[in-house]
Amino acid sequence: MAENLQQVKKRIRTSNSIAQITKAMEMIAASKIKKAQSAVEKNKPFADRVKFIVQKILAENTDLALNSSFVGISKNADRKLVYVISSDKGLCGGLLANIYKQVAATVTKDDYVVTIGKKAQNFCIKNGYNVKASFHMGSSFPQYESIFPMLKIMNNLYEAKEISSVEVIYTNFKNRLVQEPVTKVLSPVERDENFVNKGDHVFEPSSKEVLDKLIPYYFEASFYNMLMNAYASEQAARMSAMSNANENAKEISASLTIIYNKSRQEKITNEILDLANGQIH
Amino acid sequence: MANIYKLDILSPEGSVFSGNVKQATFPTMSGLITILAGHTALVTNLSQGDIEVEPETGEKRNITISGGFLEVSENMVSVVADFAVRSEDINDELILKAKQYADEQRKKKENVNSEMAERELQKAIMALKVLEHNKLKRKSKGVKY
Repeated sequence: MAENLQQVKKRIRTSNSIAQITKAMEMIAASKIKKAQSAVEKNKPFADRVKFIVQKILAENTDLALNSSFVGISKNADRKLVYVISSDKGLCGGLLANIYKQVAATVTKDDYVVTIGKKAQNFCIKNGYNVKASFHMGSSFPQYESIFPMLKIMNNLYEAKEISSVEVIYTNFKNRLVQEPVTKVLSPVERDENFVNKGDHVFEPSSKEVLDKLIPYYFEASFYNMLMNAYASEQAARMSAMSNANENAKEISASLTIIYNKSRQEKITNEILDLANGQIH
Repeated sequence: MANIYKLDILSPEGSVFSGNVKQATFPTMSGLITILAGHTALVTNLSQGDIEVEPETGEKRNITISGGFLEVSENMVSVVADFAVRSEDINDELILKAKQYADEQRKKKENVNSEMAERELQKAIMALKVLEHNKLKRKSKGVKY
């Protein structure tokens, strides 16, 4: 019995420290989400403006879009490039499994894949996808500069006429409780049918030249937005996963404490019984 | 006051300038242009240089950009500004590293040590890049208030 008591005590200690660790991880994730949310907020006017100008140019020049290699339909090849944005670390609930499901559903073995995050890299390599390059997601907030090399791959492949479209698989951050895996088309740029064009603008030097210069900004803004979303989702998923783990650890600790107290009481009772029996005999 | 308009200078990291101005001068591909209130609707590219802002109140100030876009519409002017320094060779180097990394991973999946080393290398390259970028930024961003 004494041995058993020791063991139970040990287990209580273990579950307590697990509760502590998960609590700390939850709080770290919570603070990271706050930062991510404010960054998304700050980036929004920039991204909206860029999208607005692109849609404006497309709306005012209905013929233009089809000539540009990045806009409209230009089937250079049947192959597409897919960016898979995941996380570097696990312990974030169903987030990664959902991303993997999306990858399996949308990517064919022929497509080029660029992975961001170690988990996506491991998954794609293990399953024999055509991984062109892999980047790290990092545990801190992604920098704007970090997307330039990622998008350069897309430009290079477009110039080499190896791909016809670019898709991004990432987790969209809806709110702290809901994150959904999505596949978005980054390129070709689609016309927004709901776009309301107010007034004609003068384009200098010409609308085509403005568009050519603007398109990289458009991709950067869109892609950065997706990257930020993925980061925020990762943190949110980790926060809720850790919160659950914390609850469970506390529950286990509580039930173990009851077992411990019961068996200790049992032991004392037995000892008293032994003593009482001894006196009688 | 009809001779002022609202100017927004936006960057990916947030708003750089937002407020009413009397006039502002922008570096475009075909030279400097000054925008006053009531300018015709316009979209144009900006080249590297200084935006000279004359606010409604307060002193003139210069904001250095490395490129971007100017959009004028109905007494609202917005600039999508770019401060980032895109160094082609740094990009190329990073892509190369990422490709090599992916290849190596494919070859030796279980070799943890090499993976760790590679990760460290990646970190170091990234840090170097950020350092370089900040240096350039500080140099080029000689903002005079």
